[in-house]
Amino acid sequence: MNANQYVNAVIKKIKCNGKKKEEIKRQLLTDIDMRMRQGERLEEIISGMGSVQEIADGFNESISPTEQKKYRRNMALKIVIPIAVVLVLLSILIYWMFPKGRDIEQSKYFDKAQVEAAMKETVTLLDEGASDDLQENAIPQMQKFLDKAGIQKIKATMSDDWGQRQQFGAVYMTELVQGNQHLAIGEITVTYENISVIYRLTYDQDMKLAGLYVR
Amino acid sequence: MNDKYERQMKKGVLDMIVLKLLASEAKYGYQIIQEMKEKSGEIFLLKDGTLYPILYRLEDDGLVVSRWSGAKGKQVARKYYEITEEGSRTLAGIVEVWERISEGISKIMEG
Repeated sequence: MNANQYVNAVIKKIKCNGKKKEEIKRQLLTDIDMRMRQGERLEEIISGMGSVQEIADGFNESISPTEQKKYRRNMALKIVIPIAVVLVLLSILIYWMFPKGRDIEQSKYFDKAQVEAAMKETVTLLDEGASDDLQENAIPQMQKFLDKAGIQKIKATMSDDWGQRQQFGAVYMTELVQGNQHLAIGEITVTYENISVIYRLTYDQDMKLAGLYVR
Repeated sequence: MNDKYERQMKKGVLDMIVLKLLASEAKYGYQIIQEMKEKSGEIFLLKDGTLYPILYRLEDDGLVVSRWSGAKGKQVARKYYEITEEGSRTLAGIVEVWERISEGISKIMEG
């Protein structure tokens, strides 16, 4: 143990404010330095000054209960404040990451009429089996599911023969915000000769198809 | 057992002794420890951990003031303690109390 380590160990155990701790540290180091200049060895000096606990106890006895209470409160705050900050930041992050629905009419990213038109166009392309156009209008991750076989597979989950499309029904849509990603999600009911299908279609900010679900 | 009583008795007079040593001139901590040791015939062998809390308390009570001396050449900076006027008055009062107690104790001990 060198002089600094010894003094730091003492200071750590003294229950007072930082300014006073600095003052005590400076004083103890000065004393040690003075004794070393007079030829004393560090071990002798430490033995003369007392053990870390002994010297800290001496200082703590002289510190008023009010100051000790203040010190304990400050120490508690030093622990509590960073934990509270981390918890607040974590809550903000979780809130930010958690998907949140918003009224699409208030959206800065999507236009309701444009989304509705895109939904109808997607349905039309699906009905026509226009895989090239669908892939062109979809995000890269979706493109592999939108080849001719993929489209057939999607349709087959409902029925082998849907018949001709009769009409578009009600359209519902919302904006979904997750992190810094904004998506438009819409549901549209489409009536065919043999079946009625509800499409759930998702578009990213560039109006590229990002999700497709039928039921 | 003797150690315990010796410690208790010494503890009670340390403030008075420190103030007395500072009455003649300002001194730094190590100097006080050394003087105390020499003048008491090595009866008072004070450790830093005992002296400094006393000095801080005396300073808080306004009985002493402290100042750091600048480092000169090879001499390191030192913190000097000086008795205040209030400290001198308090010392006079403590000495008076000490003399009365000491006299009283002597009378009892003489039987």
